[in-house]
Amino acid sequence: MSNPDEKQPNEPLFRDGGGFTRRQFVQTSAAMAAVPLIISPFGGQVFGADELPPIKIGLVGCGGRGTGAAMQALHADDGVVLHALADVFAPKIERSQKNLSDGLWPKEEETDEDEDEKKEKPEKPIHPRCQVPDSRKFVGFDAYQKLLASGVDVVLLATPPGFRPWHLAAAINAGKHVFCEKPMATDGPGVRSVLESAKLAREKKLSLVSGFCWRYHTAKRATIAEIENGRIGDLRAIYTTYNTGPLHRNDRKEGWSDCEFQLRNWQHFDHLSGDHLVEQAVHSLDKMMWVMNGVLPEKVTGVGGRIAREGESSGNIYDHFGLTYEFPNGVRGFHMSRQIPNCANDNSDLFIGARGTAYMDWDHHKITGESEWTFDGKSNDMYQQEHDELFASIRAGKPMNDGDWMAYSTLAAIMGRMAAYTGRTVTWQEALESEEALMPGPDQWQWGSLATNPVPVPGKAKMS
Amino acid sequence: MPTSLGRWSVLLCGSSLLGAASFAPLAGQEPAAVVTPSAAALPAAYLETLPGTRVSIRMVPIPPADGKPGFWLSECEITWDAYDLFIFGIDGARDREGDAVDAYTRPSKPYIPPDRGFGHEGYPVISSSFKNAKQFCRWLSAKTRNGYRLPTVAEWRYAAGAGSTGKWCFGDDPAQLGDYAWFDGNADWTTHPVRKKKPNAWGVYDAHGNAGEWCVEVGKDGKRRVVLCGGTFEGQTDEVTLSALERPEERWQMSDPQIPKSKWWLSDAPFAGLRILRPFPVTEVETDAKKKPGPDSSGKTSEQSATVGSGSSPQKEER
Repeated sequence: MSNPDEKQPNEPLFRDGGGFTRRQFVQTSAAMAAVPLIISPFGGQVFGADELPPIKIGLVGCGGRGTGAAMQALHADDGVVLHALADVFAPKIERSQKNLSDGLWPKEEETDEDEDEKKEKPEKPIHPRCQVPDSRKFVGFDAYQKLLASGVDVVLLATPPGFRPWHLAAAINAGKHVFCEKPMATDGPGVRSVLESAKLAREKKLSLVSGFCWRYHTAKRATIAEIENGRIGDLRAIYTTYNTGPLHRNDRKEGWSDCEFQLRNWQHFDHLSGDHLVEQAVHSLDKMMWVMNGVLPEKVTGVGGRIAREGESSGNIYDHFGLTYEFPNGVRGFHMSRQIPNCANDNSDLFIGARGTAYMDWDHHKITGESEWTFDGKSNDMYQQEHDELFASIRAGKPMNDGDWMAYSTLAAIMGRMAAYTGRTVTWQEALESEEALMPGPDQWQWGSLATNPVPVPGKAKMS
Repeated sequence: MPTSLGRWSVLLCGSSLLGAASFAPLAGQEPAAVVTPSAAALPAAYLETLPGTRVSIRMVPIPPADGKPGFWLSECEITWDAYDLFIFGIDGARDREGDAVDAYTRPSKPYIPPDRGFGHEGYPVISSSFKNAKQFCRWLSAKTRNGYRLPTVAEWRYAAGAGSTGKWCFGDDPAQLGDYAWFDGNADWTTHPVRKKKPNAWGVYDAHGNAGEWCVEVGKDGKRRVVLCGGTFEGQTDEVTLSALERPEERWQMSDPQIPKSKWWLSDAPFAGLRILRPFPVTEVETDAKKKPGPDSSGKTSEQSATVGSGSSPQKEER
């Protein structure tokens, strides 16, 4: 947890407000404790000082990440309650509720038990903060709309990213605060929609927090702040990697339509995930964009391909990319990502400046050169930090808005994909104005057959 | 090379395989005698080569003591070379999660690189949950038909100490620690390839520091708590001792974005690894001796370990 007396070292460029930490909020609450009653920002209800007015959350997309985000929201402060759940698969809703409830009860000591011993244990009751009646569990492609009308205060958007631009627009239109998982879109039209939603959120004074979690990581924030404060001199080049193994896949089961099969393997289909570059390695590109501090890349050239993915469930995406982004003043951003098993793993970032080099990976944060520096502070739970800041901003009535930069980081990944798929050099403007829509709109969201794009061949695939 | 455990026991009674003949005369001794053979009478160290591969794990003998049976312990922390065969099913099984081959559940695909980019070949496994480590033992047991498991804390401390009564296997002089261990003082915040430092008197490498090693702590209440022994590369001098013990904490999975969090991978424990144990084959003498187990014995026989969760073939071989 950062020191509340210090300004956050790296206020993202586009953030409008917020930056509150949980401790700051606790301090605010402690100050308020002197006053016997406080007025809630939610409808003027009056609550005792020791009792936080409830903030009702709704989760759209009840998979593992969505459930994780809801858990962090519930841990942000004791007033957060789970109000509604939405997914296209009903069993995921039930599992999510149970897992959230179990997570709120005290954790048991880990023991070496056989599976039989574990099965004998009685199930825990549903936690009071996770009571969601069946009437607020919504199933289907339009479930998000019903959830938005169910009386929630904050919406967590965690479906496959293809849906995100529409979900986000609907949530902001409905006047909800939003936690929006990354990436925010899978194509250019989607990014433009997200930028519109971000603008509207600002106008409506709604908080919009992104799932680009590294921006909420204490050690990464400290490192980027050192760079911004000039420790490595003028930035010359950036090299980021996300080289890892493949993600989980599900073989097609009898009775699954094309659409269901694709949703259950959403990471592997371009319209739903945007490719692994946009879905996973976008974190690395976001860090590139972060350190560029609002300076956008002019163009990108890249290579990519699909050499080790096999079988229907591996979808139509690539498994490796190598990209060069060209920023103004000759700054270059290099990126390499791979999802192939049994290869050298690397998920790190290198920032090369005129007077030094900064390096970050999961565990290390250091600067070498004329002025050396190593992060030796205590790191934090970045996912929790996202929600601590989101809910503190809501409580304080100081909305924060990650909207513009989160859309731009997503676009940086999309333009990289366009460059690799087509073999062309792609400009920022071309990507932003692209009419290539991978994801069909809500009027076409239905179960049934759905053709997918062929795997693109550079030099043959066209940009639109 | 030892084959099935059953055959092992039979052979031990009447042959001299692998230098284990010294156990044969035991059959003629008083049944309840405490077995305390000299070092020369120990079964030999051996290489467990994973079938169909060139990957092997060297097992060194740890002598029985104080009524507790002896065992082999892997001389090194288990490295990715062996773990990869298990995780990715590149032991001949199809490369898919939840595969029914061998009737084993394999770990899920890790979302983050579990080796953290520290290094792979020859580097100790890290980021492994206890369940993952235990499952590796089951898988290895079925593959090799030898019964492997994780050590208890008592077994670990005994084997890691190799008779030392000091804080470390070499005594109490912290100036020597760098000769034996990767720790905060010399590791530069990363794991290092195994077997680069001095071993203890019984040939066990890297017990202090480098990766922590999953063990079972048998409590007086009978609970088998899971703990990491030996400290890690992050540990300071006094945190990599023979008595060092770390209990899993929630923050070891802090960066796992999913709920439920992975059962197999600890996103924030780039120090959680393992070393494996194989009990000496049970002779009649030892079986009787086992009726008086030490205060911290797991109570599991080698046969149980060999067959827990395994497919039918090992059992058929043995019975």
